[in-house]
Amino acid sequence: MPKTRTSRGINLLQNLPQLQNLIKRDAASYQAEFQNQYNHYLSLLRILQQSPLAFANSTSGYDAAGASSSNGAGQGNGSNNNTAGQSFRELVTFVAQVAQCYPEETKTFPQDLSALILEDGRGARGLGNDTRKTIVQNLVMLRNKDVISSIELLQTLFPLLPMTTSPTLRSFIRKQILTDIKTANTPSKNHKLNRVVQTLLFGMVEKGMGADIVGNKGRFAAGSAAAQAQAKGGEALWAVTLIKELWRKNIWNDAKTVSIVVRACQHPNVKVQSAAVHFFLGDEDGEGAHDSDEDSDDEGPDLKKLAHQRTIKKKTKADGRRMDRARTVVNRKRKEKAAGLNNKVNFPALELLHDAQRFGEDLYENMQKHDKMYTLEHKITIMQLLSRVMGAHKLCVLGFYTYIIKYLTYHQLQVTQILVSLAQSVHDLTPPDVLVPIIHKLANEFVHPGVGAEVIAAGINSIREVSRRQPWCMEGEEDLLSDLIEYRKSKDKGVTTAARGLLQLFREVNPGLLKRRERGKAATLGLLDGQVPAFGHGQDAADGIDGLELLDEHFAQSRAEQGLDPDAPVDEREQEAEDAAAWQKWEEDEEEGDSDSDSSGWEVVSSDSDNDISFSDSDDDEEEKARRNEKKRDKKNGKGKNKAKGDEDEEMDEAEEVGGDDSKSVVSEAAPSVAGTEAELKKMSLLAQQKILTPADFALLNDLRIKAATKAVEAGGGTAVKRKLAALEAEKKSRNNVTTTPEDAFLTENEILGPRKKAKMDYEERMAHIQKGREGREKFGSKKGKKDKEAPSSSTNREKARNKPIMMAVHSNKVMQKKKASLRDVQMKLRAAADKQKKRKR
Amino acid sequence: MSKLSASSVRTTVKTLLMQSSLEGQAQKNDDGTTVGKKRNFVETIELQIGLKNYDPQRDKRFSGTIKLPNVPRPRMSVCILADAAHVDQAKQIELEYMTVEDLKKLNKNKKLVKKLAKKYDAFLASEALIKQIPRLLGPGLSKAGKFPTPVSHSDDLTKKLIEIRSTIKFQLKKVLCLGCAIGHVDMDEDQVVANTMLAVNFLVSLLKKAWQNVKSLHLKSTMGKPHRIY
Repeated sequence: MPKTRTSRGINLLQNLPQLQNLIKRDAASYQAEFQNQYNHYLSLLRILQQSPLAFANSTSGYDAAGASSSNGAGQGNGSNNNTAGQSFRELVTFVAQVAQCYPEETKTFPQDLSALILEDGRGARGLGNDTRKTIVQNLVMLRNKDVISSIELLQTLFPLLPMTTSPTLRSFIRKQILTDIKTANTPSKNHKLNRVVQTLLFGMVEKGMGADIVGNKGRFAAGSAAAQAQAKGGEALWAVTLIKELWRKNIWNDAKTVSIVVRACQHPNVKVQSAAVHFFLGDEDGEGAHDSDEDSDDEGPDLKKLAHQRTIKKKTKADGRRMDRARTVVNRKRKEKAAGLNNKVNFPALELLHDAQRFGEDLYENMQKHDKMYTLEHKITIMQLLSRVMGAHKLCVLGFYTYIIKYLTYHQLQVTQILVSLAQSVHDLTPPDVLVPIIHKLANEFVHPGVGAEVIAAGINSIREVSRRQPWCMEGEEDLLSDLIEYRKSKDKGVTTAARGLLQLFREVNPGLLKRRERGKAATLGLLDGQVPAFGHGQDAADGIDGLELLDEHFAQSRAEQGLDPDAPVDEREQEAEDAAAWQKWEEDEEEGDSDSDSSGWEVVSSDSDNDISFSDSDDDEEEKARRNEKKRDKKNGKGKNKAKGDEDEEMDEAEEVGGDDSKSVVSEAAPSVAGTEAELKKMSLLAQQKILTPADFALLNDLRIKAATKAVEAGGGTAVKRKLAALEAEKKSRNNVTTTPEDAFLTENEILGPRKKAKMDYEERMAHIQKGREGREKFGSKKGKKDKEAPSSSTNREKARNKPIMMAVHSNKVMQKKKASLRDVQMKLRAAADKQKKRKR
Repeated sequence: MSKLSASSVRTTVKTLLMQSSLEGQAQKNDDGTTVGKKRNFVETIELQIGLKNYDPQRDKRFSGTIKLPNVPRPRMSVCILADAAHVDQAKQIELEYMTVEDLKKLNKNKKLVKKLAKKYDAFLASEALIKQIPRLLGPGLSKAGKFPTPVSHSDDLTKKLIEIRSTIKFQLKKVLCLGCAIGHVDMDEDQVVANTMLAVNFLVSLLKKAWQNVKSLHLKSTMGKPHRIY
């Protein structure tokens, strides 16, 4: 045994993989061999540290390796170095592989490696790509073997990222960072790691912060200053990119991450700024595509495969259950995905801003201060973000409105984007007086006969969008408004639509600003309730739940139908029992599952639909309604009188019951401490004070509201009422869905542009269009005769004659003349033919 | 706790009031401890709500205000940003006021505005002034959720005050729980119950899936124990 052992030992000096294998099996016995190799590694490392360019020649890794093997060892200085580099790489790999077996000996190994590669990154060492890659890979391996923590690894990798020049290595590092953070956060958030990494990233962003801003426009972009700044911004840019990616994968979604990006929005490097702004705007260009296939593994089990396997394998119950489970998983994932696709905008990021006002002001100042240095495109992205922040957080950055005014000309490039930003930034707390000059400018610049129809449409549309958000900006501008509305008689469709939209808006929100004849029926009759309160009045408290009176009425009605006196106080115990039943039903439903429960909850309610029908019927005749209302009012007013009596009764009841705590009912009327006890107000909220509304009640309430809205529509309520009905119905539908996002949160360019007729193409466009259509298709026409022959040609007359239909041939001139020929002619022909034959034979 | 009935709310309110009253202090439990303790101030009763099945990051954060039948916070401090006419009225009813000049002195200083916003629970403003508020004070007030309520000269200030004091606001922030004052322990049982019921009903009507979004409801007096009602 010892003999073989020594012979193997000699081999082992060369054969590192085998030694590695043996060490992994029995680390203690091979300690000496390992020490030997480790010393070798240390000496090589020391050489490297002494003379920075020791392995410099091995920069192009594979060539060098090939050369050394063909030339043999020890030929010339260069190849010597190559072999040194090669053996260094091998040794590093070897030590990394077995490092977990000798934790004591290799204590400093990871630190040495990371120090080496970081120094190399700063330009101190010429390691060569291969060596660099080996070192990074081995560090990652050490992490995977838990020799170093992921914090240590990331602390090495992060600074490396902007330093490396090789794209493959860079993408490797990037991927490694992402997967590492992802795995660290998968079961639950690893806050410790995240904090460290976020601090690192924050440092990366902060590093270039002090520098002067270098613009990206004209002379400001030229010169070496720009290049220098570029180099400085590299780190920050990487930080933002990484954050973006982690955010998109929903690995990081906290306020701290957002605050790093907020900081990056002020970075002197324009590229970093733009990346940070795009993070908030949430539009990814190109990156989404490459990522989609990467994420496809998250789509859950492959249903088709499972179904197929089920046809082949033995069918078991367990298998069926597995299949069902897989199906639900896939369905859920699909739904989530669909929901996620809808809200592309980075909503939560905007919501998570720590100090929105400060952020908005900084963005504005940055934009305004460097107005001449930034390109229009960059300014527009900043404007977009600023306006979204202003809209979402209801900020007042009043300087923005004076700043934007200079861009509001119809010949401005990308003016629609600017108009979108403008409209988005307005909200109900924007002071109307700052908007007045904007409205004027828009009207003067966009809406006059000297410009094209689409310009007018854009102008009116943007005025509409601004005044939808702050209707009081038109106050005192009645003349302007009526002028704008006159455009509804224009010949262009876009303009007409825009003007009509404006008219419609003001009919709804503030018909007082319109001329009497333009107010519309609903507004004139005072049917509308959705008028916008004056500036600052927005937060009026609700007196009760919307549509509660309908429910109240409904209950009174159903009580009456049951033969009870509707005025009589409800028997509380009975009601309790009723409520309990409703809750019971709901609980059962809820256990069934989320989406199901809604619909069945609905059914529960509509099962007593006979009540509903009678309700709507009786409501149709006005008389009864009026009478009922009267009665109701009487009832409310008279309650005070009735109350004393009722209380007596109640007390008597209570006396009869022992331990009447539970059975004691809710007061029929609360003590009126609020001054000004308006009967109407009381009526509204009374029901809500008397009883806790059950889920069934809420469902019923919704139903009743829809019914009431439908009736209002039938009575000719106008568009506002119709819209209300539509909203209610949409709400009802959305209850069954997973989540809905506020669709109208942000404006799109199309809303400003309005519907546009497709413009006619000019000659060049038409020709280009035709040529494009011809690309990649064969020429039209019959392929007959061309395909069959070896040389393509059209068919010959002979071929055509051969295929001629017989009836046509029979009646052809040629044949008919033969038939009709005189005997003499026939004879002459025959003779000629016979002569010809004779001559031929000769 | 899977259902909520009027009677259970009443029972809870009863025990809660008992625990912070003199009677509660006098009464003993079985193990000899007192049932409750009367504090040296008027405890506020708070409704605490826990939500579920709701993603505050994705779903719209709701907010709603409702006027309760009984004033839950009579000692709420209110300040009026007043023009000349309102200054006189405010002096009469001993309401604290600030004039435009006072506001201009703040000079849009963020810290001062924040201090002002913290000092009072709510603000009123004369109708003529309301448009200048964003200019004078910046966003400080609306950020604190205390943007002033406008009053016209024809409005009765005392009435308006009571209205403001009886109005509560449900506002969901970044977390899934919220709370608001719905009464105080000097109110009688009926008043507290009425307030609670209306508040609960209103809150549930705000939620997209009504009761399916409600995880828990608690009633709690300032220093008392929380009582779960749902």
